[in-house]
Amino acid sequence: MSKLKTILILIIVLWIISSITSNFIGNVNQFGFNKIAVIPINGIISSTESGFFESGTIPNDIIESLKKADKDNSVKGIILEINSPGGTFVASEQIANAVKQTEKPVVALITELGASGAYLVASSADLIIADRASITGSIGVTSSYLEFSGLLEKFGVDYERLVAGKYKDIGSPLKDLNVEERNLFEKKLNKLHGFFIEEISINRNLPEEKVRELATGIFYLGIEAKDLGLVDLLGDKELAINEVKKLANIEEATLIKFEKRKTFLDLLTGVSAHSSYYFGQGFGKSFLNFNNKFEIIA
Amino acid sequence: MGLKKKKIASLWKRILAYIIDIIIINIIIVGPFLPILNSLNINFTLKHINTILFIFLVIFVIALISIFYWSILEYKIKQSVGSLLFNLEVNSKFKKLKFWQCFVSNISKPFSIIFILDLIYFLFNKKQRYFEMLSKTELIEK
Repeated sequence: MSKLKTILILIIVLWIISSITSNFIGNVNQFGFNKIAVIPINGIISSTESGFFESGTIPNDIIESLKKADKDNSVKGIILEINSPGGTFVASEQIANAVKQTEKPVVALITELGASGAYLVASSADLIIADRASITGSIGVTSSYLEFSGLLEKFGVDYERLVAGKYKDIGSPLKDLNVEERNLFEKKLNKLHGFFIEEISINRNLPEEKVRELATGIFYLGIEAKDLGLVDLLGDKELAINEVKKLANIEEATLIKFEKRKTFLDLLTGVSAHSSYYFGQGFGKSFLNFNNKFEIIA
Repeated sequence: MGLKKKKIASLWKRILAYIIDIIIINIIIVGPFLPILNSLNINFTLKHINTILFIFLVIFVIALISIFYWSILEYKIKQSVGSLLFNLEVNSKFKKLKFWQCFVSNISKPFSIIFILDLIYFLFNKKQRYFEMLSKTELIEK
């Protein structure tokens, strides 16, 4: 057997042994001691994959981590480490529902930012901890978009309206919203706002009227949020760890990050998916495809 | 026909061969363990004796597999990837190189500080590292 062949075989064998051993060690109940799972929620919460250089949170990843932590007998509690401005209402609600279904104590730790949809997620935890200067609250929904009809008109470009179904092009940036459409739009946003208020009211055990008063879309500093009842305690990660320990009735624990790691292949497919999308569509086409592609952001 | 005189491998060739092997070990052996080590919150966990033991276990396993990387290659082909590139070869003081010799000779390699001390020993001794002396081996230039 040639030297090269021996080297290659040994490298492959050792790599397999290392992978199996690391997997085994990672899965054993580390000498039987208690764990606290830390699940980070960073960037915009959305159902679509973020790009190569963007940070974002996908509900499926968080739900998967929550389920994994919930199933793991050595995990005694969970810390949601939040630094997010929010995201789409549906994605945020999905995570919030998964948090509520978790049987283990969950503490939400808002670091820099935990606003809007991210606050909705935090509110579903058993306890919310924030820094006095954290930005939180911002209970509201928006679906604002840029409207180009005036600009197009300036350049002599007309919008030829061809629709079957009178509201099919509602929200198109190529045409002005009429009063009826605006009312319709606002009605839907108000409905979503109502859902948001209802959720916060249930999760935080606050009267709906009080939440409605606070839900102007304004953000609150951690210290203000505490006075308003939107946050339970002011503090940092150490406090969050101690609170989880109290809730779980344990004295010692190891922090373990539960995070879906992007494999090299994931990163490549993420890049290729995004680049294909933008290159394939081309600027012009994506511009026209604005029709009904707006998102409702919480 | 005169016998070719064995030339002991120089210090810089030993160091370069070691660096190449360490790069390979980092990719194939340390790499799979990184997710476990990264998932531990080191600042927090260092306060807990159980976790320190766990980290030591991981380091021990990595070191053991690394020693096997050097030992098996040296036992089979008398060279690791690094020493192959610098034309170095392990020689036994016995008739035939035995596996235990390869194992003992490489014990210091996964632990950089011990390996540096081992090399300092070589600097004074000019013939062998301390663990080469224990294992009755020597590293020569082919």
